[in-house]
Amino acid sequence: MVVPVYADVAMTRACVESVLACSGEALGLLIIVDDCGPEREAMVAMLRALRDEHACIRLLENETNQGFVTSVNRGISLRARDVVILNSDTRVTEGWLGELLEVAASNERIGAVCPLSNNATLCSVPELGRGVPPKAVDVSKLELEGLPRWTEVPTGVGFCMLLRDQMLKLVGGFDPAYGRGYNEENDWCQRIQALGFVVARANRAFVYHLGQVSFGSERNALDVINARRLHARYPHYLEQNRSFEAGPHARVAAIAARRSLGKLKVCVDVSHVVAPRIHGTAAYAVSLVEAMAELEAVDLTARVANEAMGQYFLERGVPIVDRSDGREFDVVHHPSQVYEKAEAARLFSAAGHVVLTWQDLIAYRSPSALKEWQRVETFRALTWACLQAAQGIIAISESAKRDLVETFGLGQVDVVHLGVEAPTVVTPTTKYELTKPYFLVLGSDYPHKNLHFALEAARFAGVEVVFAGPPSRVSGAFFSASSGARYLGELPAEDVGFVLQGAQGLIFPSTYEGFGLPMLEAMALGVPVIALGVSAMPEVAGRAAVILDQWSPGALAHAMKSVLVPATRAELVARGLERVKTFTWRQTAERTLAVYDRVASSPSSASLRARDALRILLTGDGHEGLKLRR
Amino acid sequence: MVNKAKRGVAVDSSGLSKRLNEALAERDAALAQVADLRAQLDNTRVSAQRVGEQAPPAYPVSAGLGAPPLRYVLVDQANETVKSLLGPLHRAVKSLASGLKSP
Repeated sequence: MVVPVYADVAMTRACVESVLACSGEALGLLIIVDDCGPEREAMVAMLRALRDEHACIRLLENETNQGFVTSVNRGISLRARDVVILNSDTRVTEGWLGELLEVAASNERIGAVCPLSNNATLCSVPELGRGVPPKAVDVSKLELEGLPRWTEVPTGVGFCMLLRDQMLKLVGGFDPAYGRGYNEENDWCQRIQALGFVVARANRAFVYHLGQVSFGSERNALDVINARRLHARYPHYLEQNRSFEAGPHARVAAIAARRSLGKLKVCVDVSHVVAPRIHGTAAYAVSLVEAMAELEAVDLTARVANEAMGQYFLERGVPIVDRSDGREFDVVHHPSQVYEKAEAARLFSAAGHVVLTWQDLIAYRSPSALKEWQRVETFRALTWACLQAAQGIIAISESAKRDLVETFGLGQVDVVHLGVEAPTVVTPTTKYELTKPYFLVLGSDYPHKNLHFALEAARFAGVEVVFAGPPSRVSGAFFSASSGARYLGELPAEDVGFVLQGAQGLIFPSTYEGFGLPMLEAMALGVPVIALGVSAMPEVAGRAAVILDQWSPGALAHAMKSVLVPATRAELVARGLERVKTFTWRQTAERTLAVYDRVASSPSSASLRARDALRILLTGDGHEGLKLRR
Repeated sequence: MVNKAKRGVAVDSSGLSKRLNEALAERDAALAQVADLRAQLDNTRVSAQRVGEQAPPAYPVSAGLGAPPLRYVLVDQANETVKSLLGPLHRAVKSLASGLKSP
């Protein structure tokens, strides 16, 4: 190891002592190069005393001030193996050196390794690119074990950098053209990258950096001159760094550190919701935000589509941002599928990790779900890409998870069930003229909702059935066709409870649901439920509903008749009321937060790579017609 | 026996320490010479890879870092002097002009 020394005796001593205390058997030789600083006598006396006390120390005393580059080159010329350059304004921490060496040895393409620090540009945590005082990072609280062991970075940070012996043999030491210092390490990293080697940031090693003490006012001038030299040699250097900082790999360590040291900053992107509770997806998004706002462990913001939704959340104490707000969050959660490329571009350009809730694959499976074939194709491609690129994927039932995993071969998918609100006061209304006993079918009329089936069965059973829900407007949709069904239209939120509570039963004939929230809403109001035994219905309803194994109108008609029997009805109502107690929005929020937590502490490397590719392709942040320089 | 050994160590230790420290200093001085030569060789090798390289653009890097050029200082001083000497006259002219403009 080489420690070039210039100024501040006490700081230098503390640095060397931390190296001696925290490096263990990995240390080898500690070569200190004294460069004739302003306190020469005191510095040399202190260093000689350390040298006399510790057999591993070699002290090289420059006769005149030579600058950083020459001092380092002198030191590393005496190496016997890989060498670490360490500034004297640092404090190393337990296990740092072993980790740097192990990362270096873990891959033959690694040519240099830097640790994390409180103040080291691309290696800074908890703020990437921005230093914080050492006391702001309690290293004993950092939980970094879940991170990828190392991240490829565009350049090393000279405050602490391991240089592999083989690299030094190939390209030599720091270029003396950089004079007294600044940018020499960037130049060196470019030289090894030109040979196909990489610079690694060790995400589980940490070294405190106390700041600039070496150059004082001379710093800017040196920085400018050497930056010009660097950019003249490597015109891509700034772009390379900018692109890395914009990508998802740059921040993994900073986010994990923030998670360890405080609350996660989370944005739930509900910009697909134009009004609360107009459909199941909106109900889920809005209820999730409301429940999460009650949790202490998260710093929550909602991204909203319009002023009305903004007002809605502000009234509930949830801070908001709009779509154009570029604020950075640790985690951005979009609790819905992504249908448009622009939406995907916005999401995957965010600074933080992306979590998606993919409710179901009906729009992926059913060609008629999205009206135009082109949209179906785009959606299918986006579905695949988004699921590869998200750091967290939430399925709202085990059934939906099975479908996602089996269709796309996904590794980690978390199941978080939805909740159901306790019944509120039900306001009676006469506007629907519901005078006769009726069964209710609640929901939209997409083909997979299978509404014809309910109508046919009701006629077979000789009972009244009414339909309510938003029209899908797809070709030949049930509500627009002359089906002969009694259709109440799309119910206002305040009327749903009354219409549902007045029904003899809820018929849920859908053939595909991610969850099937109306079943729980009916149970919460003491209404028996009949559903098909497919998709998520058996899982959500449990034994509290009549689940049809035979999907014939006759079987459904028989079930409708059976729930009119008082004893059966009472049993179903009691079971339903018990069942809904296991589905609360608070539980949904807590389990969702656990997903955020896992994603922040251990994002998968594969998802980060996919995300970077998607970001570049969707945002045009790539370089068309890239050519190899000849 | 034990006491004798301890005494023996005590007698020799300062001299030994001094010799040891001198030896360490000599070793490091020799290492420094080796390091110098090796670093010079390495520098030559690295520099050789850049033969023919144009120096980076030489426009001033000191701008804004040290004292401003003399001409700036002189102009600033002249400006301050004019303002302090003719300040009352300047204010009077301004208020007269604004009075004439108002209806």
